[in-house]
Amino acid sequence: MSSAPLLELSGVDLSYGPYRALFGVSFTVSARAAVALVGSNGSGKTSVARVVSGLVRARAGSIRFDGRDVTRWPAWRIARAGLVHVPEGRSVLGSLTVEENLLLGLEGLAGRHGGAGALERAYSMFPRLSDRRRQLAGTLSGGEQRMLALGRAVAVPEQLLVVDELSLGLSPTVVDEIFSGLREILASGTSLLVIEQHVERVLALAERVVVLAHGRVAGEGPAGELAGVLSSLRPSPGRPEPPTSAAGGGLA
Amino acid sequence: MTELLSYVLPGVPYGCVYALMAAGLVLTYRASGVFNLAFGAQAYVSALLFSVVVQEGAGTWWAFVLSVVVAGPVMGLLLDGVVFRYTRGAPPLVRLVPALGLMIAIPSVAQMLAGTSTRVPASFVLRPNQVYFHLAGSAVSGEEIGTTLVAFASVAALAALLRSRRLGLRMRAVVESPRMAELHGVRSDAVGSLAWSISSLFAALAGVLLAPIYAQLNASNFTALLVAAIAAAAVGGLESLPLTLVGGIAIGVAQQVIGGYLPSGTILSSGLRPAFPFLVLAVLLVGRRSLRHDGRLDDPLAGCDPPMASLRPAPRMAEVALGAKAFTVALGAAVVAIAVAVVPGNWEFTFTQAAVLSIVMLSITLLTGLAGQISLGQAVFAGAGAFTAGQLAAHFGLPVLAGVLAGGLVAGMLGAIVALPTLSLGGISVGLLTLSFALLADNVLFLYSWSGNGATGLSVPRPKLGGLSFAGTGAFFGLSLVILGIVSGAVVLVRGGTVGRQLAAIRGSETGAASIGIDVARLRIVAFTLSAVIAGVGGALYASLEQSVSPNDFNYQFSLVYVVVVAAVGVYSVAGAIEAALAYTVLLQLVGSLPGRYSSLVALVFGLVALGYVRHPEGVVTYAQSWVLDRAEQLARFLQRDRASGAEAG
Amino acid sequence: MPLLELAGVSKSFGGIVALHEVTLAVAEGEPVGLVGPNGAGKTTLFDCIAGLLEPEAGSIRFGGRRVDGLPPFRRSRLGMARTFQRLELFSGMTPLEHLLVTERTRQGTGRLWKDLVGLGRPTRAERREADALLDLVGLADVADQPVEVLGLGRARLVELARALAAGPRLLMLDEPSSGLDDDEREALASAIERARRELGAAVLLVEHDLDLVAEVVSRLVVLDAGKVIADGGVSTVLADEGVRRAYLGAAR
Repeated sequence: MSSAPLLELSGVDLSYGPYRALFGVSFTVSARAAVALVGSNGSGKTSVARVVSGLVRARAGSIRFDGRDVTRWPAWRIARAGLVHVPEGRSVLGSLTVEENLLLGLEGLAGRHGGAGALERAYSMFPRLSDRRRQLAGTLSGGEQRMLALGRAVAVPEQLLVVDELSLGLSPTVVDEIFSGLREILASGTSLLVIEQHVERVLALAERVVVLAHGRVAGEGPAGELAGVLSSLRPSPGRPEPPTSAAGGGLA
Repeated sequence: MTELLSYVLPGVPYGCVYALMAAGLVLTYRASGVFNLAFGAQAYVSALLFSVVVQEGAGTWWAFVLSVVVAGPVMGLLLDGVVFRYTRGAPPLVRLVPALGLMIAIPSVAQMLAGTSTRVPASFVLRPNQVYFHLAGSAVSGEEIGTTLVAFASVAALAALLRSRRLGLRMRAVVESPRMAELHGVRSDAVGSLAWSISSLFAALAGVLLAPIYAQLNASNFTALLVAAIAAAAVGGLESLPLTLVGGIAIGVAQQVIGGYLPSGTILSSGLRPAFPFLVLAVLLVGRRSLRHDGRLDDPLAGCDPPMASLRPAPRMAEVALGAKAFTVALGAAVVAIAVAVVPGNWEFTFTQAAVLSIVMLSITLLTGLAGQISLGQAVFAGAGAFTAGQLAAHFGLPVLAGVLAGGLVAGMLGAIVALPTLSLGGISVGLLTLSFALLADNVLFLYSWSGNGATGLSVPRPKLGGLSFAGTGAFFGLSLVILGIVSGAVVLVRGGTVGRQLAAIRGSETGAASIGIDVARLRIVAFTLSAVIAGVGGALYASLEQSVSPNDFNYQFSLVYVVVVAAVGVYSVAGAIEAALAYTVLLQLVGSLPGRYSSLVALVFGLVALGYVRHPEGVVTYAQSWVLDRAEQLARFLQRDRASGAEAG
Repeated sequence: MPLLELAGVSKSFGGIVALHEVTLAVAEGEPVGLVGPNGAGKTTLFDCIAGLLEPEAGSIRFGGRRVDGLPPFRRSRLGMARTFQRLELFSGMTPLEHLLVTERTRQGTGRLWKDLVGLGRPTRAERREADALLDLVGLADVADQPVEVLGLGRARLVELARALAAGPRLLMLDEPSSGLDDDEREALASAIERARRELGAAVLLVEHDLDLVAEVVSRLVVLDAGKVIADGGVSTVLADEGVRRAYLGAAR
């Protein structure tokens, strides 16, 4: 087993125009591991997901993925290298059918994994998608859309799956389904970086937790010891708004 | 029947060229959300290049390769890489203004380089001028057959390409959300560039094939072509290529039939033929649901891009704000003082023009800056004001100042009427509808003797008020400043008042505005009307300044120029409108004093402005101002800290 | 007489039934929770009540008056105010400006001539009311920042404050806690509570966070596949077997 982590952030700074979102963020995700990223709104969780997948470029620091420095790589190249980022909110391409959504991700990886087998893997994990393969993804319910987004990571067993607020706006039954899907994906050998508001649920899944506050890593440790780390989450009374608030998620 | 056929057949090649252009427009619109109004200009450049190369003695094939196969895609790549890539996901105005600027700039620059040129018929397989056969009594030339075949083949090829799994799928993904597509491993920029180069190839092809219509190559013909193409694209709902082809041909044929059947010699018959596509476009915009809004799903990942520079001025430190205000007032006073006292006569006139034009520009500040509606027909309202004042003075001897007021009122009524069909529209659709209205006014409305009186125009005297005469330019300048002051004050009051704040809310979110009880439709009519009143007053004043006006002073190009100038300088402030007018008139005056061959410099400036605007949609001058104020604020902070630490030490 | 009365309201989109003969009444000042799985038709129901969608069948009465057919702004003037799941804030404006323009609109239509003689600016009384509302929802510290730079959580609170500024008799909240962190959720709950106490407004709350629902409402309506499947006291409804199957799942 290689000792180098799958994903490694060191000293990552990020700003959106004048608003600074991340200040020297460093942490790692090992292969076949699940890491939870928690913190209050505006603490920079979504920014971490975006900078990891190349949607935004770090101003300083470096990001290594699978042994390569991907700090300055464009998003499409990182995606082809095996990182799936399921962003917050609408996470699929609504004007494409279910099957086209899955195919789009496979195109860039031609030959790496069998095409037809790849689709079947996704459909067997989420049978609901199979019934709707010709339906436009935009007409799926919120839960089905998240399943489709996860299906991409299943179709080709990717190395790292980054999910941002997957359970947002979903009913309890659907959240159950989504989390059991995540557990299966983890068991199949894909690493997870999970951003979640439902702390209890994510603690049951992840072995390590990174706590963000005001764009900085405020604590890090095994999930079992989170209770202590969580107390650092409580903001000070009066709660001065950091200039990082733009980063939290913007207006969805 | 034979007569009808003899009108129908010649219309087909025209329609095919429309369809070719339309297919290219649809492609870039789908791929980047940009309604590329510079498309006609691109066609023009290729046509010009083609004729120049042929006249230099090269064979038609070489000319074709150079002007279409090479120049077309290269232009597309340039436009995408330098301008339109940066407008992805931007508000409609930001996507439109660069295209407008290029639409004005490209033809003039090309013409400056190449000179006017007669067109050369383009046909490669068949002999262009040879008659191959007769159909229903009309001769069918090689050029007509060639044009039709090329158009059909190209549109079919494009449709096949878009249906292909590899490219078609990617393009649809990029259209919906470039960022999301990248997360799927798609190179969005590369797909976008490909779309732009293919669509520009179509523009170039259309430009070279356009031959059947015009004997002389001139840019304004290509604008007409562009509008016809937009109408054809609208028939296809900006989506379906087969329907677009049908639409293009139908419009081409209908134009011929109208030309054949209407009694000749009337304004309606000579005007309706060129104006027909505008009418079609207007009807489609209002009637087809799919065209009403920009049809862009909002990109959930839009927040990844650095936020657009804020369109509202940042709050400033009190000292700095006060200093800036004082400085602006002092500068304004200095400019006026110099204008009145020192400058030679023709410059006095220039400053008066600037003051009058400022009023027209303020109508855009109100409508576009405040209410967020894009109008490409403001010159029509100005014209309506001017012609009302002129007609009333000529026929009823109404004093000019009363005429100015009456002109404002008539323009306002026109504005309210134009506002009605725009109520269900959003974004660029409003711009296109007002543009077709402007073209309609140019070709029909303003030609009647009771309105603009065609090429002859009207004469309008300088005003008198009691014993006070404003015949001299100096006195007129004073009068213009007073009226400009009143109009500026009105705009400021409206902006800070209930109506202005409600309009700002509507600009932010129509659904949100309705949810708190704002009557969106009524306020949009109010904004259109008030803006038209202001434009009408400005236009009437302009007529009195120039003492004679004709529809040419208010043609559609002015509408476009005004919007570009105001947007580039700053559409959100009163000062922006005044500075825009000043910059524009001074520029014209300066270039006018140069030898004739430099006249295209104005256009060049427009091109540069378009490029700058992409980076600073808050307006170049506004940007410069906030840059200076930022520095001033830093300095003030520094001085304060200095003082504070000094106090502590003491 | 109930404040809001829906009778047999149906709506479908291209053959897919979104609402099927929904009948529902809300009394003056009554807080009601509306829950159900994703795609059950909750937002469609909101849009029908507020006038963004027109139902195909059935009637909607508000304050005893038929309102179906009226445009949204007229219904708002009758006393309906709402927030949106996908935010509809006035971009470019500050929270304070949101409230000022809402209060002015509540007082009646703006007249152009009043603006032209300088009577259009916000009055001192309006300013005081706006400040009080900002304090209530905890936004006083960001009163003068454009809403774009606020995070999702605070942006939702701006929408809540705006709805309150309209002085509603019925406050409709569409997943107001979605994307909020714990502190913001607390601010939200207390703002709703105070709105009820001080304005006496009825509340219709769509929400997946059942703890928040239980905190705010006493009566729960469950929607599934466009139909009302349960309507009654919170604990009774949550104990219902059909509701558990359709909505709650294993987690509860």
